[in-house]
Amino acid sequence: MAQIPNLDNAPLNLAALREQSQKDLLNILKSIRGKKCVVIDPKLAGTLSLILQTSLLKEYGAELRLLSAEPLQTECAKILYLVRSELKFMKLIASQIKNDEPKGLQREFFLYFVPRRTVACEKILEEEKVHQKLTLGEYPLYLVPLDEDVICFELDHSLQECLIEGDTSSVWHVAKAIHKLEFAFGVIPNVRAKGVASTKAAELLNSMQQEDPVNMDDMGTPEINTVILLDREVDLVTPMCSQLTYEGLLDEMLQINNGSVEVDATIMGAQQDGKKVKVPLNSSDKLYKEIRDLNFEVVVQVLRQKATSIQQDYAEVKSTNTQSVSELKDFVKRLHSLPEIARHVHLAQHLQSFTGKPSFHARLDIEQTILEVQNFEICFEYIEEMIHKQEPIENVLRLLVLLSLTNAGLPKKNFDYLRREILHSYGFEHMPLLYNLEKAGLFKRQESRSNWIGITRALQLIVDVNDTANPSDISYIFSGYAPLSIRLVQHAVRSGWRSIEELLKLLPGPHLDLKRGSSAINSSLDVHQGLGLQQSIDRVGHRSLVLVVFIGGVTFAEIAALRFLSSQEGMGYDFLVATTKVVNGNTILRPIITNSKEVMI
Amino acid sequence: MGRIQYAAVARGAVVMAEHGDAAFPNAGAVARQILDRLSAGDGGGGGDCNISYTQDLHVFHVKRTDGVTALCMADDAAGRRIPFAFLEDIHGRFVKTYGRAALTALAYAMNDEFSRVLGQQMDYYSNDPNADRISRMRGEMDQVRNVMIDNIDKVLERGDRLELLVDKTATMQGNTMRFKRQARRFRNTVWWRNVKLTAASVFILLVIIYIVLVYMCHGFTLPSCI
Repeated sequence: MAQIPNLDNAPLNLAALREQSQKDLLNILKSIRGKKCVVIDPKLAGTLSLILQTSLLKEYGAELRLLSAEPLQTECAKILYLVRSELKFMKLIASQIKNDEPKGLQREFFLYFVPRRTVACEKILEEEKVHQKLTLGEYPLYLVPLDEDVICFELDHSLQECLIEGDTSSVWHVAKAIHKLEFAFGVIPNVRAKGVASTKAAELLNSMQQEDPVNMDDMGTPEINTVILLDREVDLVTPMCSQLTYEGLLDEMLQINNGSVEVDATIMGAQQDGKKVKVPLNSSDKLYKEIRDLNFEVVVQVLRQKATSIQQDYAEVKSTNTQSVSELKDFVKRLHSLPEIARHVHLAQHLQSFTGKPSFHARLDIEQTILEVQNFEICFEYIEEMIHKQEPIENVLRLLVLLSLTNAGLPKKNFDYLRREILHSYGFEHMPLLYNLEKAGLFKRQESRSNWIGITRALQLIVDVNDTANPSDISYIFSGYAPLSIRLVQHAVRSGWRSIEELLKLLPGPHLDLKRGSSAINSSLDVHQGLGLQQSIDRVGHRSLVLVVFIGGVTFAEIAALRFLSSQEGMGYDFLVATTKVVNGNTILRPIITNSKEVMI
Repeated sequence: MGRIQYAAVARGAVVMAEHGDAAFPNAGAVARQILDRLSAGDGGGGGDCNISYTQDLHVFHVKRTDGVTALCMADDAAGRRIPFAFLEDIHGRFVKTYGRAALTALAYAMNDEFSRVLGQQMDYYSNDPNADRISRMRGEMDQVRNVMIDNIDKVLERGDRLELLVDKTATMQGNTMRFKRQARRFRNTVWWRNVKLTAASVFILLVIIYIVLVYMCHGFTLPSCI
């Protein structure tokens, strides 16, 4: 039941990366002697739970607090702030420090920025006149393993910053994180990028290699064969669709945070009302690993098979007396998986209370119709009806964005009409929201003909799914729609961008395809022929590893598609996913909605 | 359950102790004949052996180890496992009690003391089912098995009941509808709705035209226009 994921089967030695992060943090704690109070920003607390147990911090004399607007309540004389480099946290820290001054408390203050200090943050500390009281440092936590094959950069707002605010600092962080991977696993020879941020990150990666080169002489063949960088902006259609995998549905309905989901205890079969339980969801749970990427239709069948199988074995044990002790022992071992089955039966039952509704199916139908660009009028009417019913605005906006993306915007008449209807139904305070959506290109006026039909045909995005239990294509994940982003990955892995050059121009942002460090690799192989051969033996039997980086977020459905691809017979690659954040349509739109409201205040 | 009815401990043909059931007065004489034959055949009783002789309804079991012979008579029902376990037991007790004196003792020298031990052990091995180590072990295995089944029952009761889980999954399976199949039906529904809407519009239009014509042609039968 540990929330820290088990990385024993990871395609790379991610456990070593995590241990390094643990060591860095513990060194920070050791550098401050005696008892200390560690104040962490709330988001970072979730991230740290993926790196080390909280009990380990207490062994180093650390007392934990969450950073908030309230004065700090602790007896410790030493205060360590561990926060991400965000301006609002600086104000909170300054107000807490000022709050202590009248009390005459003799405290030492330390501030460690995650992952690095920024000039803007220090400027605010100076303006608040607390800069002199603080000892500053950095905790270089650039990437966190979420699971065996998923890495997170923990850059929650990068999509919003890039699309709306024009702040591209997160691109630097992405490049820095990949560079750190290269220090551990070698320079990645093949780089393919699509999108504004991705091409910029690729160029930054090159610059970093020149400024602070990874020494290839110390290692042989790089472990990562190819890195493919994709902007979320290139394919915003996929996150707006309803995910139909078990894990994707859990994220949509219950929000998966840092590899776990929080639900009412009553849902999980307990009898305590009002209490919440946290259910860890990662590869350490063998049953979850088996069912997480299946279409939800199939998950129910699998759970039923398992429960029925145990029930039949149990009936056999009770009715006959011929079972030997070793057979009973085997049965008891199978009983150990019963809590897992019970847990997922409860979660699946809870999900089905959502997916069983006619409105859910109607929504799926509309999404399918939008994707196939049929019956614009029907889709328009459905969205209009949702607005009039005052459905949750996130649900309305998801369909609206989907309709706008697949039609390259809405005709002026429809566009103006829907905007007016939204303001009437949800209030004038959503005007900045509509402006921001337009600026981001999510909901805009039609100015040119749509390329979506051409793209869907060229990449075969619309596929009829005949067998969800044994699918032959990644489109089983959306019951008929293959994620555009993963189709791009399929082509990039197979033949690079060359074969789809014309198609890439139809998608937003530039693209890039380059070989890196070839001279260095050649020279290192010449000089260290034996060493190179020795190193290459390590990956004999292992397939080539492809790192797929999503800047702006990835959905669980896309991760499932990549896992499906790597499990196919003909596929010769393993995939490792790295992303700024794991997202779905709701979590993409919600920050935009929230920020738009804040602007009004 | 079989019974052991006579027992003796001897060195070669010399009986040092014996105990017999009063119902079988000839057992001792037969035993001595067997011992004489064994001694003569082996050249003085040098080798170890385990052997059984059948006479009428009884079986004589003989076990010779390290120069000391243990012998007993039992009925058929006793099988072989229990009598030989008995022989091993009394042989061990005899050697432990008398040690090397057994190798030089005169006939019946230990009978006063050991006869009682022989009687007790004959009763024990005839009546107590635990005398059979394998039967005892099998009983223990059955106990372990029952304990395991009890544990399984408790596990299943403490967590969610297994039947409840199966029922839940069955209900879920019944409720699951294929996501894709709905799409076509929905489009049909909307298409039919459009058809009805169009038909209704056309009908209303016709009605309006008819009313206008009625007005212009001065009558419901449109007399002026026909």
